[in-house]
Amino acid sequence: MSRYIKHIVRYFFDHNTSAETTQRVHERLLNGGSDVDDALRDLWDTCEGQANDKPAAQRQWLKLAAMWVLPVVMVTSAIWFYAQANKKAKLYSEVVFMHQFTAYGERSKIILPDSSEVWLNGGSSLIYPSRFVSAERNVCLTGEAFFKVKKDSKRPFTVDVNKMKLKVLGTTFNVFSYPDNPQVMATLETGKLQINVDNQKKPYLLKPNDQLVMDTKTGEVEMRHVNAKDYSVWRVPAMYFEETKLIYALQQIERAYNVKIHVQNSRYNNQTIRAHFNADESIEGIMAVLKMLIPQLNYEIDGNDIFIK
Amino acid sequence: MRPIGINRDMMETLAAGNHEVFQRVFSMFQPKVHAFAFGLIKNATDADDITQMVFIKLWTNRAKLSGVENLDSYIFTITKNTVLNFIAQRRLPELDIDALRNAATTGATPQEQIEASDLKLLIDMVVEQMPQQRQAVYRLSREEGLSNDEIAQQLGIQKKTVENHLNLALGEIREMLKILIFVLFGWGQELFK
Repeated sequence: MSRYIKHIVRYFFDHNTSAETTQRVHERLLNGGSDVDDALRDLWDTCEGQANDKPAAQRQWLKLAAMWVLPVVMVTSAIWFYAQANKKAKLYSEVVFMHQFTAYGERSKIILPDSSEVWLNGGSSLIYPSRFVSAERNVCLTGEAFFKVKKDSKRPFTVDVNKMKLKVLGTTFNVFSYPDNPQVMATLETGKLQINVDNQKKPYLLKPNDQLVMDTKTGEVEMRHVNAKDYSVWRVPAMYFEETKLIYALQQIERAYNVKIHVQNSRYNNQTIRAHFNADESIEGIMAVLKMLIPQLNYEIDGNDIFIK
Repeated sequence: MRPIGINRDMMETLAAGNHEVFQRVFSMFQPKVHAFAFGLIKNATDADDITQMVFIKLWTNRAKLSGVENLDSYIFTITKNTVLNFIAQRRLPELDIDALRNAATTGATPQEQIEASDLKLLIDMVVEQMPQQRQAVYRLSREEGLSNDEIAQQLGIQKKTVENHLNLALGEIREMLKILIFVLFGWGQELFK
């Protein structure tokens, strides 16, 4: 039991130290016993969650102040949000933040405070304020959503997703940004869409039927021209795969049908498929079609679990 | 930070899988968990990951919450273990040699060895924060055993400057440790071999 461990822990916590010193302290923590536990407990008791936080640079998270309340529809899923206190947040203190979450297999529609409409696909989450009070109408999205934004030339409408910020005045577009998929896609149906990508100075300007695809792993951005309507087909529950890798198609099937797909054989993960499934297609029907496209693929359906062998 | 608004009934419903209560717990504890992780790991992305793991663990083991008396302590324990495991997984094997070397004082009990090692670590952390010249003067004096004259010569500064730096340095360390300087000198002989 050392008299100094509390000082070490406290000092370390409050200061930036060199890599070597940090490692020494870490080693000390790991070698410690109950004295380390006590020191850490004291540290914990003083944490208010304000002092040493720094915003994570690469992520677009909505900033909340401690006094806000979130009316919630939250579901067990791998999608979590991190909130950090921020000076700007005090401006928003009289506004309540709304959080709409759809589970896998569900879809929902939201009317925003400015009458804009948003359709949320399964496994998605949208955070938006009860009133748009700032110069921008800003929302945060994880997952997939189709936006029909009411025109307001005085206040641009912005959507924050992983690594991108989208900006419109009045328009309809689809955004795709799931955490388990390195691609982030924005597809414009009507109007004009401006996209700012993290770490890139020049914004991208999209015209109707333009699509911007970003690979968040490599940072590569690609602009394509597509039939935009094809990318919001999910609003009518049905699935559309065009040159889609099997692994991503399986993820979408999981979300749409609320099943768990266990990929025991990843041989075919990167194989691309092209298929269009209607709303009333059964999961058996879908798997049968996949087998037709990839004959060597073997699968087994066991209730809500599907095994790819 | 008193966990207001989370009473035993709510813990029970949370154990049963209530999402609203979970979200409230999340809102209340996330800043604390993150601050704690960040302060110890010093990396925002890692702190985010650790925070995520803590709440996933909390949710996955929600059934255990029925037996929990103090939610704050419970979350502290999960967070502490997650942080320590995180550190353990990332450490480099070579570092153990350093730890062994520090404990080389003969005749000292394990208790004394740990304290000596801790004291050295603490002092090193304080010294690291000092401006460059003061650090250099301190190290030359205490770690290399040079006289004030020798230090002045080596660094190309006045002897008076060296003395000032040493006073300030020792003052900072003393301030930090709140022990008398002559005790430090006594320890100093021992530690800075």
